[in-house]
Amino acid sequence: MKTESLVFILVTLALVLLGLLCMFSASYEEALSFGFDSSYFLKRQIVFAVAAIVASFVIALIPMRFFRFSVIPLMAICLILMLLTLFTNFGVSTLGARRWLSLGPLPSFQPSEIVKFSTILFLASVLSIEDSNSKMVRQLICAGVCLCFATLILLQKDYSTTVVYLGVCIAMLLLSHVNLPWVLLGFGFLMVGGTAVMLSEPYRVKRIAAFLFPNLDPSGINYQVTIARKAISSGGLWGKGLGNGYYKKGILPEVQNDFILANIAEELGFAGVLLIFLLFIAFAVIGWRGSRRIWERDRFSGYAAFGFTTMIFWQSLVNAAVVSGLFPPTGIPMPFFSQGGTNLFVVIIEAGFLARIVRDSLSSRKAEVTLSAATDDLVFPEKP
Amino acid sequence: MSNASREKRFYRLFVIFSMSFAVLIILFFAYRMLFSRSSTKKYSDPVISSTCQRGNILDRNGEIIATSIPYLMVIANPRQIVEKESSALKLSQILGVPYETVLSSLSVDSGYRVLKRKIDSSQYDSLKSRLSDAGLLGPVYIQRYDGRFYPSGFHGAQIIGFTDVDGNGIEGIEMAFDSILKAYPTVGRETSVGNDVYLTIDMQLQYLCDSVIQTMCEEHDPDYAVLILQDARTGEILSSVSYPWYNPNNYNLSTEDSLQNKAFAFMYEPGSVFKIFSLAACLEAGTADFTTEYECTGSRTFVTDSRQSVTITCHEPHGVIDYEGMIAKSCNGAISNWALQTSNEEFYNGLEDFHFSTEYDIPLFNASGSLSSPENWSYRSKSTISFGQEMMATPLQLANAATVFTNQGILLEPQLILKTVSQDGIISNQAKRTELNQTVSAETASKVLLAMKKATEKGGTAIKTSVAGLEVAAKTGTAEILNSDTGAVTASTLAVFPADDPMYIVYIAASNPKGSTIWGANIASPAIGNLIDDMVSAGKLKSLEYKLP
Repeated sequence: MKTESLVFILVTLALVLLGLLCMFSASYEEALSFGFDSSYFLKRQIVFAVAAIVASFVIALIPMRFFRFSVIPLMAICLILMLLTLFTNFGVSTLGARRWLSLGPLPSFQPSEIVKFSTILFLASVLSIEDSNSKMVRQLICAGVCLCFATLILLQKDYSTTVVYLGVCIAMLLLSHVNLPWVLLGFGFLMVGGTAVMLSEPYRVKRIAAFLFPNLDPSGINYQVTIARKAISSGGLWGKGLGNGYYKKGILPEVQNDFILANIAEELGFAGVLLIFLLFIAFAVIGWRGSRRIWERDRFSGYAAFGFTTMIFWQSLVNAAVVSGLFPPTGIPMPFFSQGGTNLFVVIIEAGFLARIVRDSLSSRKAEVTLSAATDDLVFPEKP
Repeated sequence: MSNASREKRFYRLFVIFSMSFAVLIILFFAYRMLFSRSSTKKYSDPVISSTCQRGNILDRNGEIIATSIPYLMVIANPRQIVEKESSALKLSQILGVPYETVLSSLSVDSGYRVLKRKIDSSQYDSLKSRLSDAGLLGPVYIQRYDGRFYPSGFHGAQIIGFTDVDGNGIEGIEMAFDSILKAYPTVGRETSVGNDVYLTIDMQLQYLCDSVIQTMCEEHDPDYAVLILQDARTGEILSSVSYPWYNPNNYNLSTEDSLQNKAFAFMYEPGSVFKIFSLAACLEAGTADFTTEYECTGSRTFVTDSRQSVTITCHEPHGVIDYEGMIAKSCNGAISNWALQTSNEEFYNGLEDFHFSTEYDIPLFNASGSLSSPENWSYRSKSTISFGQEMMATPLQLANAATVFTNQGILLEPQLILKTVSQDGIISNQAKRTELNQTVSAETASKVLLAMKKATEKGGTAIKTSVAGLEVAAKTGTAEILNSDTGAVTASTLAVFPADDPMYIVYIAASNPKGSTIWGANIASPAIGNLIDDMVSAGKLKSLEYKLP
């Protein structure tokens, strides 16, 4: 059964390499138009990818329980970073959104990406405690923390990330047998609140209107979507060939970011898009299987694997839905593919975690499991 | 339900949900990429006019006066020509351009020099083979371009004007309507054509007028001659002649004198022709005594209101005359008499109402004339103005002022543009009969017209305008040219015809005639007679006694 672990690593590496290749193809025109070297974005992306792969190997060496206990300080760091981004001069505003943090010599990064990662670990840690009496309280704490961070992400005007973030949180809470009435109540509350927030920003109202009535203003707010649709349609079955895309040459704005799939569809055709989907599906299936398999032995790893898989897979689905015009345009990156260092870094680390959990789920390392069970008892002594 | 089975169920549901969504998106991509190709239009460059053709200028009957036709030009790249002298020799033989001109063009340090323009496009093949035989094709090449062609040559040249080599109007209507005639690239159309401009000019009449003026000039050799022919009922300008003229197809050969549109722009003392307007002003004021007949002894000294004496002379004694006789015989003494009996203000305002000191609203330059106001007058001014001295007017002003007599006392605006028509047939700038003001009463107007009719009868100065079977109303004028040492005059005649139902107003003037006679009655009047004759022959007028030749 070791093959499944190997397949997962190969799938992940294939996604990373394909992502770099497609990102280069989509970005060199943009880089040249900024007066940079054509491989400017590629070099940046490679630096983050290599750093993330190295970090993944380091993580693989650290016992799981270390992460389990480190979630509280991790969340505290996240909170500080988010507050620094929003309310201090370290935060960098780009295109009206305050999402980046620039700290000293570090390259600027998006704390919200780290929050997504940390929250999954936090939820996994809190929900995996084997104590049926405090279950309700723990679920409420989780929901509260999630809502707090969701609000902070929302304040950064990152609506789509907020939605995916909350979706993953709800999925994890559902996995922990939260009462369905409670979830429905909370969901209803979120729907009302979310609609209110959505309509509070004029640009979002415009986007929704443009999505519902695309022919109203094809050159305005719908421009990106209209061009993306043309680019996708021009791809056909086999595409124009990697690097031969037409719409990336300054016609489709920000093509190397959220709309990279449009360029991939144009250049690699439906075959390429299908390949990418199959890779993501394989990624998700192996991730969920690993989570399911380790569930009985190590709840923390089970929850974390479920959360990471869901996060990456759903993010890719929502992105694809936006690019194809199924969803209204929102700024959500394509995991492994979109240009953006922090996102790639976090996604690769999450994949590293998953690889490690998948490997663990397949081996029968009782010692580790008993050790972690023992420490569980130590920290959260089960009441008689 | 046990926890384990609940988890199992959740996992299963969640995976099914996620995978369904993934499959939905894949299907959507498949639909977009494989099955909706026909619905997405491939981007293609919009059609933008590759050819921009300047609009035509046409006369009122649609005869083309100015048009664009394809020409060839021969261009050299002097930097690529090494043997300048031998090449210049060959080129001058092929193109028929002087050797020195070609050599100087080739000697310039430039990559582009036009050697010859306006070559007929039918010569393309022969020209190309001759250039290629001479081994010059390459550094020398032929280019097609749209050039302006004026089929009527010098006829109406000063009205029409011309364009420069780049197709920009620089004279006449070509300049005034440049932006309207010009074609601009448009989307969705291969060839963009500028608006056509229709003039009120009637080229058939223009040819007759030019011919009459040419005959007159050959006989009397004036410095210049002008003619204005207007529609008496609408004020539309049917012909305008300014001699000497030029050929707009070769405008580089024109002189500055011939470029001037004197019919619109030249001001001079009109002389006795002006008496009809003075008479109208005096009749309208009503203070002059027309019941007492005036006795002309050849010279008369008047005492003005300011107790100064003015002596007015006629070139012969006219005897006892009324106002009709004054017009018929052109008596300076009589008109001075009645002008002096009219107050300064009424006399001045009466003339001012004929627009003798304002420009007209027509697209070409026209001078405003000069009529000074009473406070600037000397003691002689009123009497001399009354017979057309100490004031200046343009031929257009004099002809157009006569619309007062053909429109029950209403002065009309002259019209030169009939309409402009766009490529899509949209008509704009349409000519409209425009009344400027009620200058005199209808009664006064018909009185003056009757007096002018008398001038064409036996004993009248303008008898030579009359044509058998057609009544003409006219007034002659012979005015000394201001500041002339040689006693040169401007001989002119203004005529309205047919007198009983006026259709046309014509004014002819010849400046400094050097022939056997200097009198308007002997120079301009016969020319008008000939013109009317020609118009009858051409079917423009009906004469009761006209017989087929």
